[in-house]
Amino acid sequence: MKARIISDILLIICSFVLPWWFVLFAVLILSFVFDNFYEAMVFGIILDSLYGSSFIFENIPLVVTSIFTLFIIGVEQFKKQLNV
Amino acid sequence: MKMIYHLKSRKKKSPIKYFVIGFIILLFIFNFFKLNPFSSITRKISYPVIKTGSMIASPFSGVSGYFKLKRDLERKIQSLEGEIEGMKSDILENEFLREENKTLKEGFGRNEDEEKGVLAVVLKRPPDSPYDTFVIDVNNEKVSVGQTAYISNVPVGEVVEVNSKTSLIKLFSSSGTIKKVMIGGVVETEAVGHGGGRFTATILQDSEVEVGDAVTLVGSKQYILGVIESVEEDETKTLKLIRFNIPFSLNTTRFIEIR
Repeated sequence: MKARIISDILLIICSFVLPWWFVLFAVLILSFVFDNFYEAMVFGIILDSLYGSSFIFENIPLVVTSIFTLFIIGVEQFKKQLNV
Repeated sequence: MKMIYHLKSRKKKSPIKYFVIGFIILLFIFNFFKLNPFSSITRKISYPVIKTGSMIASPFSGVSGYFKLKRDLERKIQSLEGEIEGMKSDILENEFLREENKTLKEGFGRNEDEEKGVLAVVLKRPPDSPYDTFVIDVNNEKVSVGQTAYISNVPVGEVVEVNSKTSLIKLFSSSGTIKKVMIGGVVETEAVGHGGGRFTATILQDSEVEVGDAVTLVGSKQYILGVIESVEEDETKTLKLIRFNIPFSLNTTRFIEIR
């Protein structure tokens, strides 16, 4: 639990400071490390709000957040199939 | 005979699932009403965090230079010196033409004073940003939505969001953005942004344009938007596909002017 909280705080800072693709890779890895890594949605919201995705994709709500959410759902289903 | 009954699974459904589904529905509702309640919070937090991050990172910005070969660096310096020499004459010619233009306009009674803009520091730029957007350190007291952003007198984007701490600029080259342009001073057409400062435009086959021609925005003032990189013939041989770029790298932009 401690590791999860620390990684969450670090990723929130990284979302602001580091390039977007770093957060993407971190979410990809951490979603397999932690169960129900739905806090990735928070990182998605930060990226979407900071870089203004709503001004680029007018018909899709919070693109990165949506992608992260769908990805986490997919990973959780995949884990269930593997019985991890 | 022993009967085996499968007990129904009484596994409780996780509340996280309901939260996620609710959140997705909420996103669509926000999008429908064009709301983004997270934007102002994120922008307020972003300013001190990004500033602190860049302060910490700045001493390490030149680290990659230590790992480059001296020979490569010398070669690069030589080629850049050659480019600078070529540009010097262009700058002189440009200044002469600007003066001539000003004199002519004054002669015709069109005295256009230079607009004074607001200088902003670019906090976030591509490739840090996944889209062609800039986050700048100027707030809603100094700029407003709809103003144009310039780099060295080249219009690059438009202010789309302002806040009490930072503002957001959507670049003209962002994917799908359409702008009316004049190519080579002879053909008027629409240019489509493709991200990373790149544009494409289609013109008729018989139009006389060449690589290196300037592309200007259509408007009262002739602002250069880019320089033609390539001219390709269409398969049907009726149209030409023009590819042009903003004349500098967006990745290294540190300052921007808002007017």
